[in-house]
Parts: sequence; C-alpha cells; structure tokens
Amino acid sequence: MNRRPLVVDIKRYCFHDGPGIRSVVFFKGCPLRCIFCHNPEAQEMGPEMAFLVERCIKCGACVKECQHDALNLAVPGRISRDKCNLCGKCAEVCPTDALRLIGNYYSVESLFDILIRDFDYYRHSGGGVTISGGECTLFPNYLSKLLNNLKNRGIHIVLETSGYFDYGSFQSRILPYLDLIYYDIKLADDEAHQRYCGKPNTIILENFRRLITESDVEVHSRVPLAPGITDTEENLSAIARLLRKYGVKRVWPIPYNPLGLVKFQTLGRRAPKIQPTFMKQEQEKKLLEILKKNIPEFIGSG
Amino acid sequence: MTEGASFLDWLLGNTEDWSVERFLGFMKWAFEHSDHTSGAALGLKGYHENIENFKAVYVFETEDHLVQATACFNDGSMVVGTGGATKWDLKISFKDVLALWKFIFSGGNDIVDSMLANDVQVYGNLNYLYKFGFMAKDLVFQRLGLKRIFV
Amino acid sequence: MAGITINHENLSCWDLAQFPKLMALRDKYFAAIPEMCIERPRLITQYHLQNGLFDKNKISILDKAKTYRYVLENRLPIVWHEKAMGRHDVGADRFDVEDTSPFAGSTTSKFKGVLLYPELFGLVMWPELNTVSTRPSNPFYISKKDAEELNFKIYPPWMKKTVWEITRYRHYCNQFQEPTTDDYPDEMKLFQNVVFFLTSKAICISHCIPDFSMVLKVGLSGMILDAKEKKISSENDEEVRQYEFYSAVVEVLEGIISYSKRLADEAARLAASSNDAETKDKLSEIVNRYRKIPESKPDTFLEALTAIWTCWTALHLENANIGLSLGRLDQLLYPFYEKDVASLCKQKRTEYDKCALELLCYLWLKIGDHVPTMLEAGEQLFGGTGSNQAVTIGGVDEKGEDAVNDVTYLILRAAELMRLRDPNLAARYHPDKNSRDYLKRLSEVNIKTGAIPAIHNDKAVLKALMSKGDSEGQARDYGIVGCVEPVSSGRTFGHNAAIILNLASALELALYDGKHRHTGPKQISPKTGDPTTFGSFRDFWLAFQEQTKWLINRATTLNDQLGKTHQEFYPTPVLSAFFKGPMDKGMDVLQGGAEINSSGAAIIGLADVVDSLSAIKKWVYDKKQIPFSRLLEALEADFEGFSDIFGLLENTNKTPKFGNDDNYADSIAIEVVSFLDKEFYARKNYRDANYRVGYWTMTFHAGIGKFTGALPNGRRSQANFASGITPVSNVTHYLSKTLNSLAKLPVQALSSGAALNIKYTPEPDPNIMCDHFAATVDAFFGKGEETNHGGIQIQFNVTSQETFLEAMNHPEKYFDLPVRVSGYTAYFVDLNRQMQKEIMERTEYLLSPGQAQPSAPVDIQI
Repeated sequence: MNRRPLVVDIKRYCFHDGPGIRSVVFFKGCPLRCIFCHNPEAQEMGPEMAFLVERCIKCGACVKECQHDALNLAVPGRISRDKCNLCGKCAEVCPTDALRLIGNYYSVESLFDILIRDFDYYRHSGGGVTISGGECTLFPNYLSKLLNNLKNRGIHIVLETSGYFDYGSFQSRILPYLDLIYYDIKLADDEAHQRYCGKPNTIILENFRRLITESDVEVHSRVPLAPGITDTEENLSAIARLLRKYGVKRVWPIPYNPLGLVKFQTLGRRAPKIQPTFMKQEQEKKLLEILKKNIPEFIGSG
Repeated sequence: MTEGASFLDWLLGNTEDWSVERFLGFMKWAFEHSDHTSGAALGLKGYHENIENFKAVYVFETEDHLVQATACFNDGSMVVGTGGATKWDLKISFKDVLALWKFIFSGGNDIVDSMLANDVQVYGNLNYLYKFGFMAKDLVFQRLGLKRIFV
Repeated sequence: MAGITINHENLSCWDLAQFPKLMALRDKYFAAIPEMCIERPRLITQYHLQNGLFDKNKISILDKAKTYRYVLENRLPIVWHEKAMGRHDVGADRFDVEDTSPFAGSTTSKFKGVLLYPELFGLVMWPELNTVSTRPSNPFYISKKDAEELNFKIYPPWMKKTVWEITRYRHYCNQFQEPTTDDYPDEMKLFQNVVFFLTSKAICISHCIPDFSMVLKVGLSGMILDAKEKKISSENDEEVRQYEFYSAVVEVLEGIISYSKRLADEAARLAASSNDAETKDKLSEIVNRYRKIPESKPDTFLEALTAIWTCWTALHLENANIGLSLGRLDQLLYPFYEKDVASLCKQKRTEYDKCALELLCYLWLKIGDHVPTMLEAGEQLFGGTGSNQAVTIGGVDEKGEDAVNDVTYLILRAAELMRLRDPNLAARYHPDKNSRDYLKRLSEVNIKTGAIPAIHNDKAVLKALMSKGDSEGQARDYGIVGCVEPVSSGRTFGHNAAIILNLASALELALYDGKHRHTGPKQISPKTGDPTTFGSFRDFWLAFQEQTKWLINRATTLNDQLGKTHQEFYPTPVLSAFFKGPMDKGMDVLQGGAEINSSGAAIIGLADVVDSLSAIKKWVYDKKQIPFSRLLEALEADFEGFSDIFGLLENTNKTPKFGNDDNYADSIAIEVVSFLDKEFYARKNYRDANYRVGYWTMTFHAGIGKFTGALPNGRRSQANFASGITPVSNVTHYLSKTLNSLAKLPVQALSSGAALNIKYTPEPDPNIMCDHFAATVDAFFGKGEETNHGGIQIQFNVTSQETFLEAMNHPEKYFDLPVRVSGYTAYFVDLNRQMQKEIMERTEYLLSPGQAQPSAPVDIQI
C-alpha cells in the first residue's frame, strides 16, 4: 500500500456524482475485480498502456521512439506487452493519443491546484469534489492531506467506494472530511461476491453497518445493475432486506454500463463474457420496483 | 452582323465561345435597335433608355493583358473598341472569358466561387459594375428570355 | 430601486393564444418575405436633384435636415398595412394582413421592408433587380415598376456620389478626377480582397444607441424650443456653424411631428370610412394619440412607446439599419408604467399588465418591420442577419443598485413569446446586485427560446468601459449595440463595428513574409522575414505584431477617410437631435458632438490565431520537433499526407489550446488581446478619440474562413473560424475549463464587447437545467468576488442536434427557430449551409451527464 497513488482521470463540470457542479477524481487501483466493472483501467494500481486502434494513423512515431522493440504497426494491438516496460515514451510522441499511458501521478498540491480551479462553480451550485476510483480508500495518507486541503476551503466532498477498506484507517484518515459517501453494494451473497468480484463481501457489509450505525456522515447506498449477476430478483431482494435492517430507506440503482468491455481490449486484457449492450429503460424500472417492494418505507432513489 | 432572330441564333451559339467583343457588339446592337421593329420583336423596347445621359468607359482585359476590349458610353451611344483606355470608370480583369461571364451573369454561389478563386478582379467605381451587370442580365435574361447561359 | 410588484404567475400564463389578433399578425409576419421599398431612396433622390445637392462639394447639415424633412412630409402615412408578399419564388402571392397594431407608422412603406440607402450601399442591389424576387436564399420582392424606377431614375445620379466613391475620388485622386490603376488606393484594394479587413462606414453611419430621454421628458416640442433658444445670432464661424446645427435639428423634429400628424389624419380618414365600431374606436384612439405624441411629452406607458417608435422610424430614415439600437427600454419605460399602475386595484392591475405585455409584443413586431440590404453573394457568405436592433434590460442603475423592474420582466416575456431575431434582446446581469430570481428567469427564457437573451456581466463591462475613460455614471448606463457591444446609452457615438479585422490574415502575412495565399504572389505588406530563418518564437511573434500593426494602420486609415466623407456629405441631424452632447455643443455627432467619441474594431479569428501561435511556439521552438519549413509544407498541402503533424496540431492534449484552462495557450491569448487593445487604443479616429476592441464576428468567421487556407492549429483550408471570442470547437468537453480560460482575459481589452457562444443540449428537466445554468453564469461572472470581474458575456444555443437536422429538412416548420450566431440572433432556417454547419459543429456541453458529447463532424453538403 505504499505505492504512489495514480490518477486515471479528472472530470470537471460534472453533475451526476453528487450535488451541484463537481470535479471528479478517479484513482487507480482496486482490491476487487468485478467482471462487470466499467472502469477496468482503474483496477490495477500500476500504470498501464492503452491502445485505441481507431485513433491510430500508423505514422510510426511510436515505433521509432520505443527503446524496447515493443511496438509493431503490423500487429493489431501494436504493443508487445511482454517487452513493454511502461515508460510511456510512445504515448508522448503519439500525435493522436492512440497510445496512452493510463495513470498519472499528481502531488497533493498539484491535484489540489486543479480541483480548486472550479471553486466558483462548486460554490454557486452547492457542488464540490468527488473522490472516486478504482478504490480511492487505498491511499489514506495521500487522501487525508488532499481532503484536508479541500475542507479548509469549505469544499463539499463526496467519496465513492466499494466498501472494501480497513475501517480503522478509513475512520481516522478519511471519514472526518466527508460530507457524503456513495457506497456500492453489489451482491448480498458472499459466495457470489467472491465469484463475480474476486473478494468476499463480509468486510464490505461490516463496514457498511458500522458507517450507518456509528457515523453521522450521510451514506447513499448504490446497487450497480449487471444483467444476470446483480440484477436478479433474488439479489436485489436480499440487498433490499439488508438495507432495511439498517433502516436505510433509499437506494440508488446504477444503470448498467457495458462500455468497460471495450476498455479491456484497449488495455490488452481479456474481456469478461457479459452483456455488451445497455439495459433497456423498462428493465431498469422493473428492477427499481423489486427494490421498492422490499423496502416498505422506500422513499425513492432521487 | 445579321438582324432579328438569326442574330439571336448567333448569340445562342456556344456561350463559351462568346468573346467580350462579341457580347459588347451585341449589346451595342441591342441599344441601337431597341426601338426599331427588329429590336422590339426581340423584346428590346425601351432598352436604350439605360444609356441615355450615361457617360462611362469600361475596360475588359485578361490577367495577361492579351485580350482587351473597351466599351464607351456617351449620352446614348455605345462604342466598342479593342485595346485599352487611359481613363476608365471600371476595369475588369479576368482569368478567362468564361470566368467573366459567370461573374457577370450568375448569382450568389458563382460570384463567391469566383472571388474564392480570384478569377476576376475589379478596379475603379464598382457602381459602374452594378449598372453594367444590370444591363447585361436584363438583356440576356429578361429581354431575350434565356433562362440560363451556362450548363 | 423599483420593487418587483408584477405577478409572475399571471405573466407566465399569458401566451399568444390570449392575444388572437396579435398571434394572427405574427403568423403573417413570418409568412411575409421582405419587399424592397423605394420610397426613401425616391424621395431622397428627388430632393437632391431638385436642390442641386448632387453638384455640391459638401452637403451642409441644414441641407441634410431639409432632405429628411422632405421625406418625412412626403412619405406615405401608413396606419395599418393591408398587404404583404408571400414567398414569390415558390409562386406565393400577395396576401391580406389584418393589421391591428396600436402603433401607426412604419420604417418603410411595406409590411416587411428592405431599407435602401443609395448614399451608402443601396446600389449593390442593381444587378439583382430582376432576379432578387426569386433568388433561392432569402428573396426580396420588388415589382417590375419599382425596379424600373430604381434603374432609370433613382440609382443613376448616385453613381459617383456614394460614400465609398466620394471617398475614393477625394482622398486618393485629384478631386473628382477619375483614378487610374496606378493610384488606386491600397486600403480600398485590401477591403475589396475581403480577407484583410472591412470598414463598415461604407454601408452605415454608426452603431449606437440614441437618447430618448428628452422626447420622453419634454416631447419634440420641448426639444424644438430648446434648439430655438440655443440658436443665437451668428457672428463668427463657430456661431454660424452652431446656428446651422440648431436650425437643422428644428427642421427634422418638425418633420417628425408632421409625419405623426399625417398618421393621425390618415387614421381619422380610415375611422370615417370604417363601419365597425371597434375598429372606429381603435382608430380614434390612434388619432388622438398621434396628434399628441411625439410632439408633446408622453404621460402614459402607451404614449411613451409611441414616442419611441415614431422617433425610431425617423432615425432609420437617416441611419442605415445596421445595428442602430434602442437601449435600455425597461429603464426608459418604467416611470410611465409605475405611474400608470400606481392607483390600480389588483384586478385592474392584472388587466393592465396583460395589456402592457400585448403592447410590447406589438412593438416587437414593429421594430422588426425592416431588414437590411443583402445581395445574393453576401447572402452566401454572411447571410441570415437582421438589422440587429438591440434592446437592453436589467443591470444596475445610476447609483450602482439593482435596476431590474416590472418592465424588465414584461420585456422578457414579450421576447419569449415573440421569438423574433429583431429586436435582439440583451440582458445585463450584475452578479452582486441583481437577484438570483432574475438570473433564473433569464436562464428559463434561454432554455425555452433556445437562444434569447444574451447575458452581459455588469461587473466586467463597467470595468472595461471605465478603463477606456468612461465615467462611472456613463458606464453604469450602458446598453448593448448591435450584437454585443456595450456603449453608454445616448452618449457614445462609438462606431463599434467601424472595422472588422481578420486577425488570421495578419498571421498569414507573418507566415508568408508579407504575402497572402488568397492574393497570390503579390507582396501585400512589408516583409517581416522568412519564418524558416527565425531562431526563436519571439522572432515570429514580432513579425506577427508588425503585420498586425500594418493591418491596423490600413484599416484605421480607411475608416478615417470614410468618416471624413460622412462629415462632409452625410451630416446626421436626426441622430444628433437624439443624443447627449450635440445639443450642448451645437455640434453634429459626426463632428465630435457626442459625449464619448470612440470607434471600434471587431476581431475575427482570435482563437484560431492564438492556437496557431501556441502550436508554433510548442512544436517549432520549444520542442523543436516540427521545423517551420515542414509546418509550411503541411499547410500548403492542407495537411494531406501530413496526418502525423495534423494529429499533433489538432490534439488538445498535445498542443495547448485556448479555452482548455491551460496557461500555456491562455497566456498567449492574453498577450494577443492586450496587444490589440494597446495598438488600437493608441490610434485616434477622425473625431479625436480612441479605438476600442471587441470580439464578435456576426457570420464573418464562416464567410472569411472560406477565403483562408490551412492554419497551424490544424484548421483546414476554407473551414470556419471559431466565432467571436469562443474557443475552437472541441478543445475541451468541460465547460468550466472553457469559462476559466475566458475569465483570465483582461477585461479592459474587451471594451467593445465579446460574444462567447456556448451550446447546451436541452435537458429533460428544465428546472434542474435552470439551476445549473444560473450557477454556471454566477460562477463565470465572479459573483461575490471583490477583485475578480469574471467573464464579460455569455450567450447560449439550447437546441438539440436532432432539432437542427429536422429544421434543415423541414424549414417551413421551424421558420421561427432562433439561434445565436455570434452576437446577433438569426433564424436557423435563414442561414446558409456553411453557417448551419458551423453552429451544429460547435462543442455541445451536456449539462446532464456533466460532460460534452464529442460533436462529430456533421456531414452536410454545402
């Protein structure tokens, strides 16, 4: 856990990752390996090379630049990943960004400098900064400094998490700065969780319980919908019952996003076999009904 | 030069072959015959009024100065000449004669295209261009009733 | 100042369905095509001929005043229009107009007329007289008889007497001798090349806002009295000049009174011949009102509107309908409204407000009753523009406090209902003084209409104007002229559109050592060196500066020469009568009579030039990765065969670009605008005042773009430039980044206004969208910040791509779909294909998923 945190992307002028106008930072690295992950580039903690074939103009600048003979225009994926040492020089010279080094390091100060630029937009819209990933709680020391700086400027902070973290460290380093937590609960069954997400869900559910019962910070529980995996009546009912147990009355199902599939390919990784198309709106509505049915006090997901 | 319908036939020949002189010559004929029977039959009645009390010198030349023509209007008369003039109201310099006809006879897009291609340069008093443009278009389109002259 | 007492719920309930006659008239308005009106040119020409004015070496202000008086006394008094013309080119014909407008009088003799000014630019229509009625794009109808009169009678005497020609003869040749090729003036040749600069004094007098405060306070009779008192016996030259000035003012004001009385007489005649009691009543009211107004001071809201309208028609007899603007109507009208409603009970008040809204809607149609001259080729390049009569609302008052009042909201509602391109509504918003409710209402109207109104930041504008010497009081009373140009209402005779300068041509001249690709091998400007021999970016920057200065000199020279012709041949007694300053100084606004006498330049191509400089700096000099010679080869080939270079130049992550919150490029933008501001401000115009710089481009960014080859920022040959001050499309998908870049620009360098075009995709929930919208404007405008002034202006297009496509295929259904071009509003279906494409390709910021959709190139055949 002593690696430097890398950032996959910083989105700005966002409206959907918390209230108001926000900037969202996506950190790289996640202890889970959900097969329906739509941000697979944020799974590995280290840097990765991505290649987007439709952007490649075959100019050959990358081949010239590479010291390790890891690039070949004749190969569909271009990169011989066994030879590539992730130096990123090819990405620097690639005119169209067909080659990209995923994962950039920002010092706390330089990241803060970027996030503070939209301060006025946060201020006038009731917005702020959302910390996301990957699993951003992997970097408690770094985050602690960053969040402290943001909080000193009175910026509203949302954290998005899979819930797979060490509660003690989270509680002392991160939690004090948060205004709102988006907490993903994917599968209620431990075995299924192990199978589809690569880790048991016990820590996640226990952390959720503690957050709900021990902390004052508002928690929004979210259920990512993955066809045939998380969206079964059985799973949704089980999650709903679980939430009900803790007195949670609202839940946010997250529409299924299959765009992660393409990203697996660009990263040179094998894509999991899951539904490649978006979910129909009627289907989403139906799923919402299941959740509602099981939480009698259901207020809504808005 | 012949008169009447046969003249029109002559004019209607391949428009790409129109030389400046030939067109100016026809214009002159049209002015001179506008109120005669032969002109009236072609719809030229009143056309002469355009050049009453009108004094102006027009010079037409190609970019390489090889083709030159002048049209002098003087209180109702029109004289067509070859060669330049030292004093003129309007000089039109054009890449080739087709470019000139497009510039004079066409509307929006062709004029823009001609400007984009720098096919035609105009020097002097642009109001004389506007008047000439009216007289030429009026003659060919309105009075002779040609719908269009370029395919 | 004024508390808001109007009932917003009522206001939002009233729509056109409540005003069936108004709605019917609006339908006719959209069904009608403009008709060329020869009344003005006929009367002007007659007077010139009868009085030997064509033979004079100079036309005095008194001669001009008598000319306008002659027009006012002889033009047809039209109370209600009877007929309008349908789309003649598709076989439509004249149709009846059931005109019931409470406002009599019209700008032309037609229901929707094209104003012709043979003194200026009217002769350009000559070659088209036989074809303009049926031309495919925006046809103007003219009857054969009228066309003949123009051809034989009206146009010929003006051939050597237009402002452009007089200028050519007088200043570049021996007086009134025909020029030969050799001494044909450089500046005019450059103008004719289109790509360098344009000077609009050839086609109009000024962009400005007349002062209506006097006619509203004392009526024209009071103004005449004032002028007569100031006429003192003439001893010295100065007194003779002043005597003549005041006499001229009296002439035109009496002319306007005569016109309004004749309107009253005509209404009386119509009343007598009408059998319908309601019609008789309406006409009798018009009779009484026009006998009184504008001669006497108005006492009611309706009378005040009448006074403004009648004087407005007279102003357009003199000043070409290109950007002449009405100013802060909510401020001018509020005292009358306040007085009217003071004693009304709640129910009567509701009835009154409904009636006031209807009156404003009728006035809107009247203001839009004319269009400017536009020739077919111009239509192809620059089409779709109206006459850009801006109306300004909101902002702060003379004490710097919230000036939004009930009339502000009435005007907003009228604009929302009418959705006309003319008048062009501009809203002032002071983030620290005006209410959030007002801002939300501005947002709501933008979302509902898709493009109206543009929003101007009072904090930034005041700072900009005061940095140029306007007093605080003058600045606080600014209104918007034409597109986006802020000027002190009734005080600044500042021709903001005097110069339209294509900055990309300065870049071009620097790239090609004083030559321009469009004009070929000819040496246009001084040699500044072959850039392939330059050792540093600074060398290139200096060359660019030299070329820009040279262009500025040429453009200002021509502008001043044309200005001097105006002074001697086009004195402006009407405008001078309605201005602050001339009546005290006894001096025409053209001579410097106004309080503020600046001129203005609008810059085309800013973002493309800044990005090009950034690309050159980074790749040629910082990284030394692309030699200048190779860059030039790539430009020459329009990047064909240079996909690697093109990829780099176009890639925002690799080549810093303005508008991406990237200081590398933004600092170049700051340098460029500061340099232009300094250079222009250092030059004095013919009225001994400075030039101010603005960034709005009408449709010139598309038109001039066609004449410009590939540029180092990856813009391909003939492509559109970015519009106004807007960054190049797709440099970022995050709106806050773009706005941050814009807010970095020094506002004093934008003192002649700037148009920032932002395209939003409509959201499903307009209320949420409205909140996002308002928050964005507040953040951009630096709300609550002491030192930060924020960005100067923002304007929106809130129409989906699907709607635009639908409108292209079914123009008849979308005849009133407004869009922001660069500053002004146009009807989307009126725009040529190139402009439609430009608007559709603008970055589309989605408020909803928080990020812009990459707007894929739109495939449209041009």
